[in-house]
Amino acid sequence: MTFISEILLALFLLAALRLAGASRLKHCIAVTACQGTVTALYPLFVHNWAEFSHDTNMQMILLALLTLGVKGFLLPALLVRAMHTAQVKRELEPLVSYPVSILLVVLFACGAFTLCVKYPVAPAGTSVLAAPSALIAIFTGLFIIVARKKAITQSIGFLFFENGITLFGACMKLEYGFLVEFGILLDVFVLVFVMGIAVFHISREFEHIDADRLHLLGDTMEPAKQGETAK
Amino acid sequence: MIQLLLVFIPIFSAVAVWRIKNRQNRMRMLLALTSLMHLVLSAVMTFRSEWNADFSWLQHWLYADELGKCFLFLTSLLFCMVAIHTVFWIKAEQDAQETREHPEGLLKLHIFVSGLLAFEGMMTLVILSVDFGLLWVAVEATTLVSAPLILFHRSARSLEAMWKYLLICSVGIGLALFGTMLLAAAMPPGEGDLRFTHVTGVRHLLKPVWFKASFIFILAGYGTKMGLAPFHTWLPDAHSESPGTVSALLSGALLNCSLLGIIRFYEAAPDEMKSFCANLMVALGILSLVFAAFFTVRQLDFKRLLAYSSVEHMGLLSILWSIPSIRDAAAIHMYAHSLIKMALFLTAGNLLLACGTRRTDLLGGLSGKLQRNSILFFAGVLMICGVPPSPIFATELRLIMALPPIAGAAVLILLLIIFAAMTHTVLHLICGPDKKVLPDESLSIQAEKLVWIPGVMLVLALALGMIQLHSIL
Amino acid sequence: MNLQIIMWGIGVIEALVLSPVLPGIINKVKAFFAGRKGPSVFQLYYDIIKLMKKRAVRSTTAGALFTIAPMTALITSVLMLILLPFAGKASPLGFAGDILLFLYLGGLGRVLTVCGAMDTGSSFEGMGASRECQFAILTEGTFMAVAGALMLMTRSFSLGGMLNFITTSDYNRYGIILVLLAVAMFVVVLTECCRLPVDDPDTHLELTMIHEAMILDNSGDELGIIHYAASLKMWILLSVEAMMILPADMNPVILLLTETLTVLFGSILIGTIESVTARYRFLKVPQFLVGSTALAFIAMFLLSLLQIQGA
Repeated sequence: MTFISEILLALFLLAALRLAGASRLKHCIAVTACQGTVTALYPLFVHNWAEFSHDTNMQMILLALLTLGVKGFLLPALLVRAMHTAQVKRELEPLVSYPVSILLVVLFACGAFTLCVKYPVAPAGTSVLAAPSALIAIFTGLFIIVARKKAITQSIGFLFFENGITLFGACMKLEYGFLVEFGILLDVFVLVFVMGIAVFHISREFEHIDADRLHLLGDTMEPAKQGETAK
Repeated sequence: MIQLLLVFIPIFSAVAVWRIKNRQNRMRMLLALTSLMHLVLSAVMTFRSEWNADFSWLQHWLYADELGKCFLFLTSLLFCMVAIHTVFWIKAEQDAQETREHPEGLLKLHIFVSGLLAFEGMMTLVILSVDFGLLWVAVEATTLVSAPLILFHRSARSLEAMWKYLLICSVGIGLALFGTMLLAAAMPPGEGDLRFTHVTGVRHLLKPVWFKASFIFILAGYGTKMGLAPFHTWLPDAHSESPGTVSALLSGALLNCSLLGIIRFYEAAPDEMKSFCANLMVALGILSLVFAAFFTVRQLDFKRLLAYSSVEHMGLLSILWSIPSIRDAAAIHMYAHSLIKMALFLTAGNLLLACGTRRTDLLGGLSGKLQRNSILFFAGVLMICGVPPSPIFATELRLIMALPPIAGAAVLILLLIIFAAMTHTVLHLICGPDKKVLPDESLSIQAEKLVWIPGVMLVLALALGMIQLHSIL
Repeated sequence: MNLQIIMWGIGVIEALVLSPVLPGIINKVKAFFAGRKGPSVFQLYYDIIKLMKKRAVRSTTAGALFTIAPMTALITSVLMLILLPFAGKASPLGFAGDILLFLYLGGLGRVLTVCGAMDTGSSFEGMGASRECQFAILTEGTFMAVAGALMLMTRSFSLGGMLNFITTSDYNRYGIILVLLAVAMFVVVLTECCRLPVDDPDTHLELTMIHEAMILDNSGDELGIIHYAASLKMWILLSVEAMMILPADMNPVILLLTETLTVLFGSILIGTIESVTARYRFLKVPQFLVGSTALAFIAMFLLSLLQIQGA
């Protein structure tokens, strides 16, 4: 059982590396779907089935199935649909180039591993990979939001970030109770849904979805010139 | 029982709006009725809580303690007043669409109204939630349901504002979730319960390093939602692009709910950590004041000006709540700020309705055509800057007296800069000569009719201020 | 002990004799995927023998470097070969730190090939030379990262110690790390041997060539030597990969057999990859190589974690 959980965590880590280097949006979404599946399945493999009651175990399985459905299928499907309606396929000119992104993720991985060895957070018996993988995913998600231009890639980065946080909770064996976990899942689902709709509207209004070209709002407005009555 | 009703009545109404999609009058009536019912229930909850039939399973999820009741009544009152204003204001906006030369689309009414109602339900859930996990879920939900509301005037700018709001607030809330997990890591082993009462009870057993890390992430996360610098960057855009009523709710109610999250964490701090947390809150508060002071000078958009004033007051509130001795001043400041800021935003919405633009360099001398609105706006700006007999004056006075000398001096100077900047802009807007853009005649008449609710709010704030002055002098 | 030395000797001779089979196997696999019969597996032997009987034609602008380049490539490859620990026995010429000698012998061969290519004065060779150097810089990074991971794992600085460390009981512990290192090393193999997805060996368009462009002007026996040296290099790198993965505590005869089979399997794998992928754009190749370096670094971190946890 621990061996499978180690493989899942290694997949999680490699997903972060792959996301940093992926330029085709379909690949980014596929990587996020893979990561979501790992997030859903990981708690099942580290749970101590004998220790808890039958009801709690059933709740865990139900939650895992729900998370798998939402993070492994629904959300990637939503993102693919947003991709098609906005008619983008690639991230063409990222703010930070792909090789540099990969190297930055590796650098952060070094830091995360060192930090987690110094300040162990997980309860004893958890794989040594768990907390660093989660931290690396959180960093990679935030990095993708910052370093990429297209709005869809920012949504993908946010989803990645959320998955990292969820895995962190799972590796610390936090049990919030079914309702709160379900609430968190629902929130993420609706959020990505709303983001998808927003991307569609942005693509229609601006004819591009480059978030760094959205600069209509700002504090440095020039005073109006003669005869101009624009808003 | 009442807690459950308080949360679910707005949500049911929000769903019901979708059933009566095409009947405008019915939707507006539903909005007004729901907000009135909510106000009555929360008044009962706050003042006559013994009438509440409580169930123990319900206490596990929703509970209103003293702090919660304080926030609940304020939110409910404000939402009710804004809802009544909205009922009339929507009609005026729809008429304005026909008369303007460049009409931009409006958001479909049923989406707007159901968004408003769901917003109220989710804010109530934030206030009534009993543990940190549910608090997080509710705060995230408020982000989600308020995002479409920003898009009321459909334009490229509001779309951009909505995107920034969604992304920045979601990332911030994600950090808050991380902080909540770190809090769970800080709990002594074997304790999984994250309820406020429980955590506050065992707070002397929390591991200090983990709690510090958790508090930092929580401050970053909920501080983003609250508008503390340097996480406030979504606030000016979202508040200026959304219509008056939505800005009023965002400024007056939503920022308070995020503040509640931070306060709950502060309460749960172990006693030796409290000074660390207080210092952090004071530091971020002063930073917010600096940012607000910097950006209110020469601000060309009067709603953006009000948004930066919100940043300033959120900074002040952050400093106020971190000092235990002036806790009541903090509550009064919150009430006062919400009332006055809401009145200001509603009036600004009226001005925008009449003039069609928000730029202060294109507008001037509005007191001629929009007399009542101008008076209210000017009075509101004076009150929010702390001119007596505004209650803000009393609370700011007590704050500066309670701070150490250098911090107090810094706060005073920054408040002075903000006062100067705001009154300069507003004076030109209200009293100066006419400039390029003149208010539309028919729309001005409509805007003048919409002054009652802001007027009531300002009168309430004045009354609060008189009581405060009386208690000080 | 004697058996081991004999086996090591047989391993070296086997490499020298059998290495031209590898490109043949790759072409056969590609032909299989394309539904053709393809050239014979021993085709490279026939080509080398044919070329050795011919005289080389040199351009008038080429100088001494052009003459010595092919021979240097062969000599450095043979020297790299005899440093390897075949059949679980460290090379008699091995010493602590010979991994660097290994790497830089390869580098020396490459430098002189590049100089020989630029010596012809043709711009196609110059272009191929510059591309080759660019990718070589990145593969060196990957190779050193892999070597670093192996050094961490085995606490030894000689090739014999590094590649002969794994025993059959170690797979449980080091399984994931070996997989990561093998993938990173395989990328090095693909790049150094000029295979897809980095470089298409069958292309006839000079602007898309990397390695083939450098040898456009070679002919006769020099070209034969260059082909042989290239196939020997492929055998060497695939052997390094095989030795890294296979356990060292088996019977030497069986170990040598397994290593040979792994090398042949590696060439089949290269053939499969060549048949199913297209060449990456040149701008994407650095990203590909940096990705493999990242994999090797991640393996290093995992390794140090394992060691801290174990200790």
